Amino acid sequence: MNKKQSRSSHKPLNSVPKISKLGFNCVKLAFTMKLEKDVFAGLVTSMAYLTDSILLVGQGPWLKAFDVRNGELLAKSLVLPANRIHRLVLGKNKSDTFVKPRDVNEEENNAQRRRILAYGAKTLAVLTIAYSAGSSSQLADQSSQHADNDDNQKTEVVIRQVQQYGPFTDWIQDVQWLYEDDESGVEATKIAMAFAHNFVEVYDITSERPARVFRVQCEEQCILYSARFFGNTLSTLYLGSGTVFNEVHVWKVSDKNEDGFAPVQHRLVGHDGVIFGIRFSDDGSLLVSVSDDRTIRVWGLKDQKRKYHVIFGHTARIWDCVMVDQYLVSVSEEEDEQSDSAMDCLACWEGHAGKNVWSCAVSPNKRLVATGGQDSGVRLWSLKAIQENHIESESDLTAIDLPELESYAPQSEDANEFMRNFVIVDYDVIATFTNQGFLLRYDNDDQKWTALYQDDDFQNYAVMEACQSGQFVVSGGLQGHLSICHAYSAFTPIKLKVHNSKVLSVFIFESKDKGVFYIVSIGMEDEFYLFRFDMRNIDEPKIRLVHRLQRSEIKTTIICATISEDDSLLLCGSRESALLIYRIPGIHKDVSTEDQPTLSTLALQLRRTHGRQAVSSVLVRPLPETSSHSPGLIVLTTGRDGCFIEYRLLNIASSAAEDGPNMDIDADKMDLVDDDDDSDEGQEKKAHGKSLLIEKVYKNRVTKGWAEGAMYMDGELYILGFFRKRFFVFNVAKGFEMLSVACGGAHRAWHFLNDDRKLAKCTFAFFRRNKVNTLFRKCLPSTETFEASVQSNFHGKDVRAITFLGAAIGCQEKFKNMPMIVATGGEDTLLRLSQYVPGKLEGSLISLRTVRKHSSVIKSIVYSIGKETLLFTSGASEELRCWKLDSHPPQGTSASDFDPSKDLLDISCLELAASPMVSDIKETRIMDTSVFCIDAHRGYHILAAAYSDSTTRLWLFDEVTKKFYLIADGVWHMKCLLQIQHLLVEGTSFPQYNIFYSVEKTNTTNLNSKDNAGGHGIIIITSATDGKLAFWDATSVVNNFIESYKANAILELVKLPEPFYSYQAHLSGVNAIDIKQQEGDFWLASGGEDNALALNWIDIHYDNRENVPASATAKADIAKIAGAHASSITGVHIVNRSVLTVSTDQRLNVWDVDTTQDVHLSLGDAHYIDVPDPSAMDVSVHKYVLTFLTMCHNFHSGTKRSKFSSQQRHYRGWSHRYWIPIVKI
Amino acid sequence: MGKSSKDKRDVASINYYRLAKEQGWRARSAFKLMQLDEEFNLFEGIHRAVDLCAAPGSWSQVLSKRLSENHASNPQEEPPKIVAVDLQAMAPLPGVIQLQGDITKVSTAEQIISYFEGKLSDIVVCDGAPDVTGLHDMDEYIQAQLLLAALNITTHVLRPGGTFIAKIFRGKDITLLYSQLKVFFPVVTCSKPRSSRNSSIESFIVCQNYSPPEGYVPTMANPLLDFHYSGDNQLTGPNRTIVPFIACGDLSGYDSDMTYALEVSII
Repeated sequence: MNKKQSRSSHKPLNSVPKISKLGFNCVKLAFTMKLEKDVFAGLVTSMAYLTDSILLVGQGPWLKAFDVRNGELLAKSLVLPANRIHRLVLGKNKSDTFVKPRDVNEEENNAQRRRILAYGAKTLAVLTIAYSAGSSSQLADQSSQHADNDDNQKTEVVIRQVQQYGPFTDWIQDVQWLYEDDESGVEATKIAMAFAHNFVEVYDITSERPARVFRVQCEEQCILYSARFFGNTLSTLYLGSGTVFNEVHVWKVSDKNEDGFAPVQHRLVGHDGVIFGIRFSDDGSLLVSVSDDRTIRVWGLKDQKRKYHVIFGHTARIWDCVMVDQYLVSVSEEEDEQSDSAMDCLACWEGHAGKNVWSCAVSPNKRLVATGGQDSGVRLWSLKAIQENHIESESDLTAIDLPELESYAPQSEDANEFMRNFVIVDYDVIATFTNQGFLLRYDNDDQKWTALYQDDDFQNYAVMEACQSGQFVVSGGLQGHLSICHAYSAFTPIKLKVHNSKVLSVFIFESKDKGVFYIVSIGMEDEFYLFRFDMRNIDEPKIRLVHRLQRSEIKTTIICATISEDDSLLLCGSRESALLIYRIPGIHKDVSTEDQPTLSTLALQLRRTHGRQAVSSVLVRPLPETSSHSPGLIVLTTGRDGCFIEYRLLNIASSAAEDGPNMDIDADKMDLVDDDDDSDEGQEKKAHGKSLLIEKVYKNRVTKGWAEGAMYMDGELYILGFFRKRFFVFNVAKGFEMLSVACGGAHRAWHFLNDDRKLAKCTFAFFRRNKVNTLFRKCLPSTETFEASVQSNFHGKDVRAITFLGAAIGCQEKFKNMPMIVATGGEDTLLRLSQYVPGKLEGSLISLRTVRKHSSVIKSIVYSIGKETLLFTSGASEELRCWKLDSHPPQGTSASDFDPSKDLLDISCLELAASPMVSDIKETRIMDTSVFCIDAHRGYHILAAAYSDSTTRLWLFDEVTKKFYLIADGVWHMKCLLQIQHLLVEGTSFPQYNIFYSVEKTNTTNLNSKDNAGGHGIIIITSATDGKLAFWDATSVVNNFIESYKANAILELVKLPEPFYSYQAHLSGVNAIDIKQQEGDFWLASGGEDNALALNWIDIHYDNRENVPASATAKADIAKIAGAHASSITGVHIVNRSVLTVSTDQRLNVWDVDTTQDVHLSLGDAHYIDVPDPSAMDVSVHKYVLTFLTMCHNFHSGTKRSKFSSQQRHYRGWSHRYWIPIVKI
Repeated sequence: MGKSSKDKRDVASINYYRLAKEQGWRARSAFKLMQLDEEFNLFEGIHRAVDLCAAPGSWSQVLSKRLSENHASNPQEEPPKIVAVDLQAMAPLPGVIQLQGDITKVSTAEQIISYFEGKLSDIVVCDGAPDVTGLHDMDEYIQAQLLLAALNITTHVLRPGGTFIAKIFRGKDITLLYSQLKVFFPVVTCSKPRSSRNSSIESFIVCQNYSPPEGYVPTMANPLLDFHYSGDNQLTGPNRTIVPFIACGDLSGYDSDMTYALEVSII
């Protein structure tokens, strides 16, 4: 074997193409363009647990095995090359030792083997999975010591394909292993298969080719939407079949009537839609069916009266459900709200983006449920945690009531004694001030009360705060006193008079110096106070007033605050929705007590941040220094509008003296475009005076109730809040509710204490009926040892636009190894920026930013590099938005050290502007855009947009003023436009425009040199549903506009000159075009709805006279392949001398172009791709690696849908999340 | 109001909807059949027609209109007969015989022939589509099964030389369906009327000159003429059964993707 061969065996370039999905087929291009599939981000159609710790996932044609404890991908295999895996069926668990799993290197003795059937469409694969289990089977009971041992006993999985059968004559609806009898340990030699025309066949699989040994047709001959076997021997085998006529039938496979058909034993009638899923209970006594009619029905098969339960939990179509003992887990298209039913819904999980969950599986120990979504995500949920995390009843709470009065106040006789206020001191300790001014401590361990302090000044009123570390409690009284009491009486309580009247609120912050604290006390006065409390010497604690802080001139009540000690800043949030920032210089200096307290005025005030709702919490984190900005702070606020907002606070190093006098900003006035209520994102709101600079980065709404607090746990953001009568902790990154407690609502005093990311140990307490109701939660750390998100999610709905941001990233930093960043947008209205990260078994698309701003589908994403890197997104409802892309390596990594295979790019997207609406009709969509920078020095960009009202519009975007100006428009096709491209042609006839050559070359990227547009002819190419392509010359229109714009005169909108060239390329819609310069001429490739690919070889030129438009001549007849694909072509890309096309027929074809004599196209290479209905493709040639992406798109069949009006009760339109209700049966 | 991803395509095709209401069609799909007719001249000399999965009946309306026009111009010929079959009942239509039945049953085929007094139909049309699940391969399969069921009953009721038209989804295994249809029809064309949205996956298959294989006996019991990828129709590559595509409908007519100002009227 020569060297070349050995290398190719290492990396099988010529094997199946490596592609990724809901859109992503990542292909490697060597010199000969061999394609290899890599990442597939698409819907997860099947799942099964191999063991409690190994989850098998069928995604597209791929079978993957994950370790649920850490989310690691253990194995991946292509099992059904051109079909999706619809279901995985495991053989009985036997420790088969007679076949040695040769492929498992380690732990031979420990290795186990299991056979699995995987089927999809008309094909079936029989697989053997060899695995070394490690100590996995005891997953949930592992102690932490065990977990350490796991490192030595790494779980290994090897998937081996034994045989692939098919295609069979009909669509497979279910398969089952058949054993000789239920008991013996003999391996199954036969399998039963149920087909869509309601017949069952049994095959002997001991031979090479499956031998059919049995066949029976059910008497009911109709198409099935679903079927499920029950039983493992032929004589006990039943089939539950869900028919196209909305009925569920159960029939015995071995029965035959006189006509030779199997009679139906149970005819379960009641559903109002086709049956999508059927499951039997373990003992076969119950059958559960889920349907298009949005109900789950539970049928008792032993009950002759055919009584059944109807569960209406879902408001959308239901795909599947699983019975787990007394629970029923169902997965659905979406769910917005629960409705009452005969059975109580116990929990709703919400975790996948977009509309569908397609599959679910329950672990053998019945502790974990896995779900797979349309969004490519695989999530795990703890069934056990349903009870732990969903606190419904008072029995789960500890109600703490005051002890007898005489136990702590023997002298007191006043019967009017109750708790005034309370705080959580530690996980097991609360402190309370009573109406009579007693400060008491309660220890839950021994349930004992201890009196700490009594003072009549704290009678009838007390505000309380405990320091985070639980050492002391600060209380404020009605007369303006503060008291500081150690929780365990380590020092004598300190009392001081601070305010003239009652204390409104108190905050405590810990200093970096251990034992030093800052206390902020707010009363009714015009100023409030910051104290430094030093208890390093516990016998002699010292308190000193450090700062007097001037209140805002407008009436505003501070209800939350935080401190950034290093930056000497105090940030407060108010009930009136303001964010207030004070400079508090020198607070950490340990100065002598003689120093006078400094009076500080407000450094910055940002009003109406959360609409008019209260700012409920404020949190700061350091913002790493990058090339584009100095160090700063990330400020996060939560509000009672249910939102959280992230800001960047810059220039914090400057001193107060540099601050302007009027740092009072109304957040509303910073808005560039109207914000609607629930979310806006990336809106760059800059509020700056001379120094402090605040920029709004991100706003998102997490609840329809109140967001009341935020915390970062291992970098993940958790939001605390209240919705209806429940308290919740929501994991923003992973999108699920971690804890939910029925507490009656947010209007009562409450506290929450936690410091681990799994909320294993936490305390939540609230007042109810004069008692402190407390949830003391202490889970063993082992119960939650699984990774909640095994495979991260992608878009949940169809992707419509995909763009590689290669040059857009490279221009900001000089990367030695460029990361591959891709921007995607689609029906879910989200703009996602993801990084492709290569992996051992497969690469992955890791989401870097998700931006929700568009109100409807995003159809186009383009970028342009001027002064800054700009991203333009557009789509339906005439939305066209401009964003500033800001990207840099993560903190501590330089661009030259950046390793794109493990480092993730830090990227943000700040919204600069939105274009005005210009068409007469509200429904107008922007179908496509194309953009270039015409003057990088000034920051002028020209954007050409194709509108569905058949108008081509040209915009100028000025980076400096952040405004769009409409230059020109034109109508020619008289049909809906589909595609638009621009072309810059070097011409000799524009001396009058050559002024633009002053553009600094360094500012533009050499990768996109054509975008340095000064002095070039500007050609716009449009395509439409009429099958035509038109070429417009926009040179003079654009240049005239820019010249006068520079002279501060904005010209009136003009009409574009008629196209100078056009041709009929296709019979109907031109879905995709690509134009590339080839040796001075141009190739224009187009793909149409008519299955055709056309390539036009043209010369575009100018003659030397002024103001004469360009002309074009075809160099040859248009090369056309009429049946290039079997369905509409949706993506075309020219790479070197080849054309890549992708089509709805799920094929990717590579066409070689021969121009020796005319133009000739020939099919060079063809691949089946896993992305159904691809709608967009982009190609990036990157160090001889070509990466190509296609995106999923949905069926828009325009067909009749069945009616569900009777069940469709609280249907609220599409939500962006889905829920998985669990129902107790 | 929550964010909605609703693309306003439906609003865009409102012109056809409005036009359908103005002209008295039960659904805008009537235009699809009329545009197919413009291209293929489907109804010339036709007297007997079958509409499968007929509800709500817009295609039956078109058949009725065109066949009675034929009769009006050639009154000496036999009067037109149209049978509309659907599982559901639908509102009566003048000139259309309604048959509530299952197209997979031989009895339905026999009933159709009895309405034609033992004669076979000149044309069979089918605009049916199943409930869509969103699983592309499953939806495509069910649609293909519906089409094959329609083809099956068609082999019972269509005269040799007759025409068969049905809706298809051009998905990943569409070439298998083309191969199947080519067994019965030498001329198979895929066509997309302009009244069908560009972004929609639907198109129509026009199968002409019905010529069943020699000795073929129509049967319902053995419905599947199952096709697989093989030598002359491969999974990928140059050897695939791809039928010609023809766009139909007047280019000057409404574009169902385009956004029109409300006062615009083209037709």
